Amino acid sequence: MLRTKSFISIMFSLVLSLNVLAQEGENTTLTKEKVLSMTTEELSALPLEDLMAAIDVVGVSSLEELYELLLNKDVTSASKAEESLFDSPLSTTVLSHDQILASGATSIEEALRLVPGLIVREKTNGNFDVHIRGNDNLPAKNMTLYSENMNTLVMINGRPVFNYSHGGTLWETLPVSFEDIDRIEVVRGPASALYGPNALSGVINIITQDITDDSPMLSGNVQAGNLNTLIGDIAFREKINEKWSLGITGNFETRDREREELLIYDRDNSQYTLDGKPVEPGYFSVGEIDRLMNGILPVWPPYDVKDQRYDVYKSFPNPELAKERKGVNAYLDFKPGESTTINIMAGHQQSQAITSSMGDVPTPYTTKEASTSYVDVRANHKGLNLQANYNGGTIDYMLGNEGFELDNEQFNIQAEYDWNLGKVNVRPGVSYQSMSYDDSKHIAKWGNGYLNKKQTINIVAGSARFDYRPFDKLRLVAALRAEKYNQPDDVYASWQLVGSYKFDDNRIIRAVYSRANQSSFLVNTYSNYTWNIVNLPHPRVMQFDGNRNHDLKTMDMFELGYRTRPSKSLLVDIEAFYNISKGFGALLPVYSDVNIDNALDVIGDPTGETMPIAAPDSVNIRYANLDMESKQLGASINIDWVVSEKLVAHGHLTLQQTKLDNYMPYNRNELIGYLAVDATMSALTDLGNQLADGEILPGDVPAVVKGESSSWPTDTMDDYEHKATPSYFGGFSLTYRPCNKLEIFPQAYFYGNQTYEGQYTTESINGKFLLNAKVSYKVSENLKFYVNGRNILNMKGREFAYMDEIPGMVLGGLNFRF
Amino acid sequence: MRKRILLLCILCIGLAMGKAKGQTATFKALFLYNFTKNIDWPASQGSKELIITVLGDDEISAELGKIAKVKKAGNKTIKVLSVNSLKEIRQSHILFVGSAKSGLMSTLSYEQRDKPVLIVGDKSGLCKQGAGISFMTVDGKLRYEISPSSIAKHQLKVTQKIISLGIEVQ
Repeated sequence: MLRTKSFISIMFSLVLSLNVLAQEGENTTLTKEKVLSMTTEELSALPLEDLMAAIDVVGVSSLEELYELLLNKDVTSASKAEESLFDSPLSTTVLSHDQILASGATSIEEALRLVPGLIVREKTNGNFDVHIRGNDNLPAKNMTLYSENMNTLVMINGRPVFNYSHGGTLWETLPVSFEDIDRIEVVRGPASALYGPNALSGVINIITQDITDDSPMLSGNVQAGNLNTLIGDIAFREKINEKWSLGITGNFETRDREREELLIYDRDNSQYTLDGKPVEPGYFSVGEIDRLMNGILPVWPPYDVKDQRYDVYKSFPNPELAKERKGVNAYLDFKPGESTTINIMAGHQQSQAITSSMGDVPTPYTTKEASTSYVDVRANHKGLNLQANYNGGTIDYMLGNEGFELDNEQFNIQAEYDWNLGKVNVRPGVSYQSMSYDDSKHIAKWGNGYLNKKQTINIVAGSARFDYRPFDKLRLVAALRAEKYNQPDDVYASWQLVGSYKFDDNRIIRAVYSRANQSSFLVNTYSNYTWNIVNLPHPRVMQFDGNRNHDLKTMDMFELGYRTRPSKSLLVDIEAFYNISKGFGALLPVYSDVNIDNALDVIGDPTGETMPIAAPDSVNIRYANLDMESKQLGASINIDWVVSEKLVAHGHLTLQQTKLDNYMPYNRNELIGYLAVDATMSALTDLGNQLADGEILPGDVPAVVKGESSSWPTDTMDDYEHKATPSYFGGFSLTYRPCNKLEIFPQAYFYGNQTYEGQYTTESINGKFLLNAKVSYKVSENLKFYVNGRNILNMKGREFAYMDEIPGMVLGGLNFRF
Repeated sequence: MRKRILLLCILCIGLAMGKAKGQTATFKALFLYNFTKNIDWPASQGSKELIITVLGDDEISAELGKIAKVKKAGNKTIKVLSVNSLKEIRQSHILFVGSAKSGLMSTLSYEQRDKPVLIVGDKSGLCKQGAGISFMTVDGKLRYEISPSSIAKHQLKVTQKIISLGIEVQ
């Protein structure tokens, strides 16, 4: 108690002293009243430096500053050049650093809940699934891997931070945090023509802060709360002289799960025993799972990992820990001449997270562990933009297992040139990407990994963007890109065709037709893995193969957008979209053989009542394309309203519906079953014909007859409503500043019901309404304390299939800048 | 505890002071006038009038009009022209591009590339698209970025003072 009192006294003294210091700094002889009482003639007679001093005393009105900050933002990602967000030819949102901090978001992913069209679901404390507009869980009824967002390209300053091994973004491996970020730009809709593959549903570009004379030398955030949550970051920046600037940042984050038990799936009514007693699937501690493995009906029968018996404790060394990460980044800016800038950024991160697995294990969870480093160099000289970067390290996608730990090296280099010809701006470009993954150093012997050696995907691309303004109000944009892959050995084209018409300064309409494509991934292209199955009754062996000639997924989008400023204080942005995705693929059973134990009995039974006793033996799983098409129709509205100097309101809502054509509603096991039945029937029919024709005598029929099949079911479905993405989702928030020192930020995020079709079962997830609130008290210009409540209604429901419940959280923290 | 929080809220509301109504357009107009004192145009630009063209910002036009009534730029009278499209722009000494017309900056700067004109934008980042000076807000204060190289390309001479008081960009 005494400690608490002392702490409060110290904090109170600190607040008082800082207030006094702040007030002392504001003393000046020139008062606001004096300046406002001066005539235009008097003011215009002042020398420039005195005029600036006078203007500084009055300052820009809060309202006008808010208009500028919130309703008149700039964006660079939509056209690869700085432009007003209002004029952006694409559906674009910008989240500023200050907005992110004010919102109380505890991670970059959570901040994205402020962006229209983004569906953001928390899997475990601090680990999120982020999709732009949806189209998630496709192909359905498959491994959890396919629930990852492989459709969105996340970048840091234009550097892709994409997982080319399996596809998707490993958010916990991003090395940056809030104090690195100047803004996050989100462009919705296909954008491969600008940024290369995997920008199907859009891009999320995290842009770091420039180092200027106004940059704080030291800034940071620290907050702590329940579930052992501790999040912090710090930045040091210094403009050394006109040529050189330097920055160093660091961040850390640790959070616990809401429970330490792990879910064991209900897989096709599997039965398990714990300490000799039958148990239903459900939540178990790691110790219990260890004993389940040794039960009569083992959940995880013993198998070897790197020549040692599998140990579940190695897979989940910290089952209570949801996320732990730390990162460090260094910035060096160099301006050698008037027209040249060079920006170098390098860093390292280490992370561990318990989140969704890729599939095929009895629990939906996995521990992912990563240690990666990067260096990124951007140079600009008179319109010539060069960017080269490297990202490499080791990522273990399923800790404690063999074959999922890979070393990776990614190189990107691109050159683009801005060529201003007046009414036309042309931006030609070339790029080269090389992504190599190598599991050979982390497997006991060849064959235990899915690559078993270093494998590489290379992409060479050429692009051009034409931005034409035939007259002031009309803008026509055509961006085109062609990419040549080493695997598949093919060329893919992507484009953006945009027309925008600005009726006046406050109304603009746009129409977009665009196409983007996915890249090939290592697992889809090069898999070569033999799984001697130990935890299923059959088949005996599954061979996983990549496919070097598969088709890459593409998305075509038609979009209409309208932005309007009905008044100076209000910005409304409406977008309606229709997109068609094709070229889906997955690791799917394409072949199965079967052993029939009673072929003669079946054929010889005149009643036809004897059922064949048959089971698949060897199954070939291969990356195969599906004829499925996804058609998504939707619309988003976003409203920003500066109600007054003290109150700002923001809201967004997205409605969408996704329908599938040529949808094959079978999971992998059902497909194997189909192949096995087809193989059995074909083998028995052939054998029957041979016996009837006398080609073979009954005595010569082997005890076990073999059959095989490569036929898929043909009963596909059209117009199937895919409900993995909620039909509606959105959010709203208020920023209320009753006085200069206090800021209250209540924020809500909500979504409707969703249905996840998994490999084993289907899970319906109820809609959710998350209410957050952050209250900040500004002690001085340098220091802010706050209380941050996340999900304060404590709506605990799961947000992502099979993952943790997400309870409420309360954090307290401080934010400083000197 | 609740009473204390309530008291704190009431105190804050009481302390809340209304900020001055927007003076920004006036200040920007004063800046523009002040720039005329710190920039030399080539003699070929004419000697009787200093023409300031404002593209798409009626507020700035009005404020400049007030200054033009009472002040001269050296010995030149100030003439303020208000236009709404690129094709209306005539030969000017200063060309101010309103915030809502920022999207036209690269086209405009290309069309004006050989002319002795100071192009002034109303958003940060516009110097990279050809503006010589562009207004911006930094921590609630009105500031301007300035590109001496861009200004020099338009055959204008600027004082060191105007460069040092601005945020220099290349």
